[in-house]
Amino acid sequence: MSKGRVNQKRYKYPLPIHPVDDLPELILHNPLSWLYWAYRYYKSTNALNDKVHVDFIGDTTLHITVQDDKQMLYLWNNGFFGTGQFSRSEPTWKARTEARLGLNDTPLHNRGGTKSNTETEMTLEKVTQQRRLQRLEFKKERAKLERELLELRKKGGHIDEENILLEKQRESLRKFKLKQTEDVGIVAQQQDISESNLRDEDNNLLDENGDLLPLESLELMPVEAMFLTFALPVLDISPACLAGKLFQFDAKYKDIHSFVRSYVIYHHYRSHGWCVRSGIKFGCDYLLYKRGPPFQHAEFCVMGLDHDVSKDYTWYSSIARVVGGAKKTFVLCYVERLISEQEAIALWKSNNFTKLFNSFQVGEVLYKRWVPGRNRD
Amino acid sequence: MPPLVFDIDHIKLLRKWGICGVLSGTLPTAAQQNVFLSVPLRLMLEDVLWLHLNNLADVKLIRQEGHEIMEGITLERGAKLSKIVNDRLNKSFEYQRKFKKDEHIAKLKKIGRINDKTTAEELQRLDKSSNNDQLIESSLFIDIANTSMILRDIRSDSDSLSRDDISNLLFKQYRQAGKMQTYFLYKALRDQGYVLSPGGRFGGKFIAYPGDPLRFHSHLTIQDAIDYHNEPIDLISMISGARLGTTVKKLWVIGGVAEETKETHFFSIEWAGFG
Amino acid sequence: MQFAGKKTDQVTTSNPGFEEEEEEEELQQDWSQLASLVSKNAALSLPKRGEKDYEPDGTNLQDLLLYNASKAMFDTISDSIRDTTVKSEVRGYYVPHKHQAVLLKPKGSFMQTMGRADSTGELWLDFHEFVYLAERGTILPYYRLEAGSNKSSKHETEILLSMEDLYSLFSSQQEMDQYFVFAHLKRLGFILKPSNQEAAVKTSFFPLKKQRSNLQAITWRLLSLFKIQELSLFSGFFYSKWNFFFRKYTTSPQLYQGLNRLVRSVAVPKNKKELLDAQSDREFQKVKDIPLTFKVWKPHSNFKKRDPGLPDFQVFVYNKNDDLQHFPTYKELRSMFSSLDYKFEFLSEIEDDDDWETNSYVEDIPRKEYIHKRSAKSQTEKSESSMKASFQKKTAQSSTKKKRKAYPPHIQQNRRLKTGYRSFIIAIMDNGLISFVKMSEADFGSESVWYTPNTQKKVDQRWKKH
Repeated sequence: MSKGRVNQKRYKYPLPIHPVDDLPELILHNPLSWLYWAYRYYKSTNALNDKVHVDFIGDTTLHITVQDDKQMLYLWNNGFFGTGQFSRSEPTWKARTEARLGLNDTPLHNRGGTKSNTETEMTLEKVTQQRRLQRLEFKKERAKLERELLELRKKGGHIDEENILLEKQRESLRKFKLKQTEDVGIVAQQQDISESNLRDEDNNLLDENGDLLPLESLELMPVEAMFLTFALPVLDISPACLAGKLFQFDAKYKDIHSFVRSYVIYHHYRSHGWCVRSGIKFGCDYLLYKRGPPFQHAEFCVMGLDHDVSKDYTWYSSIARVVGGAKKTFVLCYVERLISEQEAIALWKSNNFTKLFNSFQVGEVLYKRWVPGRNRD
Repeated sequence: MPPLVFDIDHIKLLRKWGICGVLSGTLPTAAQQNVFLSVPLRLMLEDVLWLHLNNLADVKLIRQEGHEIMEGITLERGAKLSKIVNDRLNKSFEYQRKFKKDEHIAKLKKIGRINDKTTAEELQRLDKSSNNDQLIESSLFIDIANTSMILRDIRSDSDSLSRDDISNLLFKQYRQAGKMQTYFLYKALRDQGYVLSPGGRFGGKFIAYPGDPLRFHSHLTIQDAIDYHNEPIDLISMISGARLGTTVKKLWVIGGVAEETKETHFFSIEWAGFG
Repeated sequence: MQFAGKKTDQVTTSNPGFEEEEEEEELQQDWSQLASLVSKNAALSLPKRGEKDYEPDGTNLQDLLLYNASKAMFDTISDSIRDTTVKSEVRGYYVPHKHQAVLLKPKGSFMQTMGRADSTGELWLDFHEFVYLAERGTILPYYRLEAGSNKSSKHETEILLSMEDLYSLFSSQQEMDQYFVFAHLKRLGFILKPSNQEAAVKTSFFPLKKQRSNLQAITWRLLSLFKIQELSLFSGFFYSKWNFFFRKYTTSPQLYQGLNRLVRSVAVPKNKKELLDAQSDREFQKVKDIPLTFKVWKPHSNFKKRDPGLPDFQVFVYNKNDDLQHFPTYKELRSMFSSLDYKFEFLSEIEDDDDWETNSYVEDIPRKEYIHKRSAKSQTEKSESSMKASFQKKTAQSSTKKKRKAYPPHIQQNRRLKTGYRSFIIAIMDNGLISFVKMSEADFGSESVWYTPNTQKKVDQRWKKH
């Protein structure tokens, strides 16, 4: 199966609550099929049979975690919720470590349980590692060339000679870079082989049967957890219970304001179909993906602000610069509270989250660098 | 009002002292672009403070509005100023005439019409026939000066003020615009030989060059000063700044002044693991 | 998660050896080419005063490179004189109490886009236009001293002003910053007018404010109250614990629709009708105006000062180091958006200039009619009929011209999300460096991006057939 088909199957549902889409066909002229359909309809439900269990870890900083393997994968596959604590995003630590320690027979790129295709597939972590190595090598090469240039200068070379050397060096660097991108496949395979060395510490990872201990958990952002209990009943705790874990019972509005604002923004985008993930990589609040990370790059970076706030110009311009450099669109998401602080904290305390979140309004403005020279015609 | 410098020699001097400023005026010979600009040079308030505190510049305080100065020019003074300008222009015209005549002679020599032995009368005849004089007259140009004479000898209100008084005035103006500590960051970097430029485009207050910008790339972005013992740093801003530093290839630097010792300290933050 | 290894989120940060993809600011200035150009073309160089520059002896390469670079720069600046020949000089006289300049015998191509002619044929320039033209060397800035009681002096005294004099005449930092932005854009060829200055023929996207009757006012108030009520009638049933017990959702979109009514979002005008409605709403609301600074037109050769039409952009000037100013808050941004009146490029109904003529108004008449009326008045019968004929031909042409490439819906949606709707430009002044930012209204609340496998394919296929 091609990678595209694998992804379609694996990430079929955008949310952890599935639609009832397996009702039998309704044959209009056959009354029996009516009965059968009605029976199936009655029996069906969108709600989950077993809710996903969350554990709360930590005293000073709260970590909301899901520890069961299957449930971790379930949350990831159905909307890309959470981050693996030992991974870049998807919890892949178990698979990677098993491969590294040689605990399973199937090599890394057959993890999907299907035939591998011609492309060398690597996990995200592998890709990062490899790129770091390449960058290091490139810098070494460049440093070598700079030393050559300095030598020439010390010897008192003429400025023309210097220019010729510079040109030559630039050309050789370009070629070096090209070769690096071509060598991608080769390097990956070499690394696979070299990684099967066991270290002493690795023994601590195994239990008495020689199986890998389940050490990685999926960690949820507080807004994700709230969405998965308040908006869709997926987790095994109630919204009230979650609120109690996040804040003290005597919290004031100013304590919950930041969270409520973040949640309103999160819910706003999720509810319109976006896959919303943390934007910390780009120094902003959220990233918006159309279907999910495996499908397309995130095209939008969102920063949440209160509607009456003005920040220092440097704040806007640095975020815009980072976001623009990654070719994404910078969205300023302004949130306005339509009720008073007292009403809001009262709603929170009485667990009336529906009315609380319904009392906020969101407005967006796009912030983009503008170049006059490019807008003349 | 932003500090501006109009005299090209002063601009050269400032550059020697490590103040490069931003040229902001149209370059007449290439008037349809914004990459290369000419006089006036625009300075930062920090530059002016530094010049004054290091005794390198005279700060004059003029309380009148520009148009009041204009309207205050007496007829007598006006006539004098007008004469000065006309004298300058006439000198310029003389110079232009001589230059063009010499050019013309050189041209004639080149094409062989005349040589060193040609007499003065022959030259005069040639001139008349070619209408050279008229051509020269019609091509004489008037140029607009950069620096002002009107302002130069204006009586300044600050003659009675001491240097300290002026310092205080400048400090007051500076403090209104931002934190005083930011000036100390500026000073510390200048003492180490850096040249500082406005840094808004790179996500900071200043960018710092290790020398003249014409020769070196800047490799530091300096933020506004913070009181790092007491003020918290927003982590997301820090991440954003460090990431930005990597994108624009400059180190993201924050700094502050230690209260007790009055020393300035700098910290740089880098995105790790980029290799 | 599998990655093909091509593009990733770290697109620009990984390659230290590559150039920045933007024409960006950190290009080291190389004056050498410009210097040779200038010295070739300079009629002559005025003699340079001052001490001889320190000339390095060439052994230290660094010093030599710096010397060359700075010499190129200073020579270019010194050699670039602002001059006009005596024959073709145009004098502009500064008038202090008006803070403007008057040209008694105006001539030059700049007259097409700058200044206002008065009844006597003299041209009046705004102060920033005056400084700009003087800085270029196009006009000579003079100050004329009025002859006082001393009537014996026949001629008035005129002083040729310097650039320093001109800059000292700015009345505030803000005015000077606005001037720098004005000059920056003018140099690139744009045509600018202050927002608070109206041309003789005022064009607006919106028809004139009609006097609202009391009845209309009451109706509007009731309607807006109803809108608020409607929102608070929102049922939160989806979020109750009985939701999935009583209701069965057979498709994911149904789930989304249950979710997306919770958080309210600001509706933003997206088409002509909504724009016009928003304008009439604005009349009722007391919106505190944040005035924009300039109206800007793209460079084009047939700009008419008297009747310029709708501007292409509107610009707001902001000084980041001025403690009296701050970056606009959302409320202020909304106020600025609602006061915009330019060629709203996001309107899909309007595709070319001819459409703009139909869709904008001059004193409540559609602009097209206004132009037609005016030109018809000033022509004779014969030429009027020929005008009519050419006018009809033009409309015939434009109707065939309207076949523009239509894009599939998800691409259109992407466009809407990425470019937004109403927009304006903020010019940020940072101690002399100017950057520009485009602020656009966006409305993610009106778009749904959930993926529906079957319908998506069908829709795309249908589009491909076209």
